[in-house]
Amino acid sequence: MSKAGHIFLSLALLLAIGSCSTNQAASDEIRVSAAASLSDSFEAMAVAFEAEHRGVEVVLNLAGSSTLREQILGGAPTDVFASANLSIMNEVADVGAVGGEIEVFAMNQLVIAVPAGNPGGIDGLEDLADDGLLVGVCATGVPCGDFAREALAKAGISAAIDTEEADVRALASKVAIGELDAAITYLTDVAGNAELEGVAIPAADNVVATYPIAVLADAPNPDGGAEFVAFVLSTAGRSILAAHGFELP
Amino acid sequence: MSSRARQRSPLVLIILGSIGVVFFVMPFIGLLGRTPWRDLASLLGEEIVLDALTLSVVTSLAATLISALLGVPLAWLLARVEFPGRTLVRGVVLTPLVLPPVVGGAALLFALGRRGLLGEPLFDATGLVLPFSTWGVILATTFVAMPFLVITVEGALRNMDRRYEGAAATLGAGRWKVFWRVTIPMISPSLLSGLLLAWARAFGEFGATITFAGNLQGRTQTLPLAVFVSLESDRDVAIAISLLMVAVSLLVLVAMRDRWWRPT
Amino acid sequence: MTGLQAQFSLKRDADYSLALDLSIEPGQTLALLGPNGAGKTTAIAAIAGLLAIDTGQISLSGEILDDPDRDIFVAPEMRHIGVVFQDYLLFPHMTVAANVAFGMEGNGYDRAGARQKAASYLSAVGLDEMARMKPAELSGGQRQRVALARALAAEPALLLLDEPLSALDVTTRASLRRDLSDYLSQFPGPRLLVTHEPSEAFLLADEIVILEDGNVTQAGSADDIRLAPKTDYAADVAGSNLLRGFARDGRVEVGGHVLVIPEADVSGEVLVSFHPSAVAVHTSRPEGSPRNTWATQIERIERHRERARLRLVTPLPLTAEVTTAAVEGLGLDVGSQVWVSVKATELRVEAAV
Repeated sequence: MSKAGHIFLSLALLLAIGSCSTNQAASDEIRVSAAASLSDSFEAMAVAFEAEHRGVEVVLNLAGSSTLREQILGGAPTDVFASANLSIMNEVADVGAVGGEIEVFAMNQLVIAVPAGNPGGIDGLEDLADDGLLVGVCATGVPCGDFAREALAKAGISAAIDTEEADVRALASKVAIGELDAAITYLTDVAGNAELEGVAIPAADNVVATYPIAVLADAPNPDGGAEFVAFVLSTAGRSILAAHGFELP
Repeated sequence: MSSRARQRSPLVLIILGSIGVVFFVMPFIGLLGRTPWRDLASLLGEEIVLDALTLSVVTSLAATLISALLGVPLAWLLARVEFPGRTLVRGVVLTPLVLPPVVGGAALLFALGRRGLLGEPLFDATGLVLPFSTWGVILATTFVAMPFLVITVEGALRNMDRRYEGAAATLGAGRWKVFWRVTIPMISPSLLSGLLLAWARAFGEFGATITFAGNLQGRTQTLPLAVFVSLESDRDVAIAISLLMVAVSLLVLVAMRDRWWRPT
Repeated sequence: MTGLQAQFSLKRDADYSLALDLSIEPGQTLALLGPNGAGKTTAIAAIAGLLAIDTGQISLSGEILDDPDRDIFVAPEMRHIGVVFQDYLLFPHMTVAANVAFGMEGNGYDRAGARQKAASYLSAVGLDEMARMKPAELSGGQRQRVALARALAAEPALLLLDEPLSALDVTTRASLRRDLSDYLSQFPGPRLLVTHEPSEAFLLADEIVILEDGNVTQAGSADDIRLAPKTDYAADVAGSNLLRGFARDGRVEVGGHVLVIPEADVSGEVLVSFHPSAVAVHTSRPEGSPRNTWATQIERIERHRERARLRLVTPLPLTAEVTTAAVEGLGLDVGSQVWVSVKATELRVEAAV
């Protein structure tokens, strides 16, 4: 083989080795997969945690809980999983992918999110049956989507749904820019957002979402993961969650 | 003798090329390995699959048609008409080739959404809402797919021997007749591959569609969206749809083999 | 005004411009003869309307087609000018019949009528059996005839031919030249033939215009140019004597006169060509007389620098080239009786059909 060929091949091998080594996460890195509805609160959480633990970096992976479940079951290196409902966490636990204790750290409620000023004139769940309004929910299988259907079923309303979004953040942002007249989201999605208003869903129809968190069995950095979970459950963590509108256990 | 002589390719190329083959084949094997073969027929018969298949076929063909209707004249402008800012226009037209489709979908939402720059006056005047409608799917996929047609046809228009158009003119053919009877037939191989590329892109479109048109079974949920949504609710359905898409893609590629990618 | 009048100039880029002045009467064939790159194809494009002229005027049958001063430009599709392009430009995606019918559609014929008429044009050029073929399936000579049929089928008022024979091999060229001559003579309008091949110009044209570097350097009949070439190029390419005769057993009979030729195996219709300088002129019957020797009379003398060309009429129309010193030394003048001889080895013989 020519010299150039040698160099070429060595380079290719180096690249291959390099890409393998990134699988072994450094101990100063904690990978957290969190439900989309936790986006704002966990970003704040990560900042606060990193401030207490110098040199440690929290890498957040935010998506619909069911998407995260697929990633975890597919082998994506993850230390901590925070889901938006218990059943998805249980599905992960059922295959033995959860390493530590499953802890419930926050609760959330549903609300009808409407654009600021409520141009659609939404008063309650019964308005979501109006064909003339653009109404969105989360897709089936995503916690907020399952909860929304549960709430609609309790209220006995057959909503005229125009879109089933893949996660609650995408849903909320389409309401915020006024493309949807109403959507069933979490209270926390509306709480910190000036572009959104919440129309309350009566307690009788409402669903309480429970957020469990756990360190995963295949966590590359289980100690870091445990530290992060402890922080979320600590007073500091609880106050961050409360500030973002979550109810606490 | 001659076949042995021809095998003298550099070893490095053979190794790296083989890695490339594995790279492409592995995902399909993975997909086949997870396929619930026994239930496949009933999975493919599920309403979500049939709805998505129908919608995908209709919208991807509509997007291809619109791409041809607007894209060919656009390619003509870029190839044949000198105007100020032509390079800029070409850049803008071809941007969706590199732009993440989600960004394209969001941009469409800001322009053509109910509260969008153009969409708001349109809504106020006609009550027409493009997002969350089948038209929205067609619009989003056209946005992403048409550049493939434009770039292919523009190249063909530039490369064709324009003297044939002159010859047609001396035979009394006006511009319109020259265009239809000479230019279009002479660029037809490129036009055809442009249409195929645009269709393929439209058929597989996901990001722009879900961002601009949303996701509702039977109205805006195309096959790629159905795969994504089912991955979270019913993985077997997702795999069945994925397999269906692979089959349709292969079918089209094989059918077009001689015209498009010519094996030697 | 009848026929074509073209007196114009156009500039294509910094170092290339064309100035042309020619007129062709109906029924007349004019050859535009010049070396490659002289601007012949540009001239065709301008007359056909594929290029606009900068100054001057082009008119056909009294109608102005292009006149920048008057802001007139008639689009090519409105000019009724048939063009046979150098590489024919037959539409590759159409059948031969569709190619020929193309110019007739919307020109008084419906599609079916056009096809029918196309068939008759095709049979006129002997290609009726090729009607359903694609141009790529035809030989060069067949393509050339399709191109001619296509141009004629549009019933043009003027016919332009751009190097119609140059894409063909030598044997095809000879036979097609003969056919082309027939087709041209049947076309009633003016005909403009562009060529770099002197023999084509001499055989097919009534008048020749020589174009060099975008300028007309000489215009006139073949005889005029042969006798009095004004430039080196004209002298070089237009200098050949050309005779048509019948060959048998190493001899060619030309107008009752017999010439001995080097090739014994040629027979039938032939063209015999030789350069004027190959003709030797004597004041008396030459000693040991070469076989191709005969007496004749000088009709005209044209001097060009140190060379002189003599026009000889009987028994064969010939041009001889001698030095002006020889003219003085031999005391040659119009009306002088002279002997001429041509070596058989100087004769170029090719089949005429």
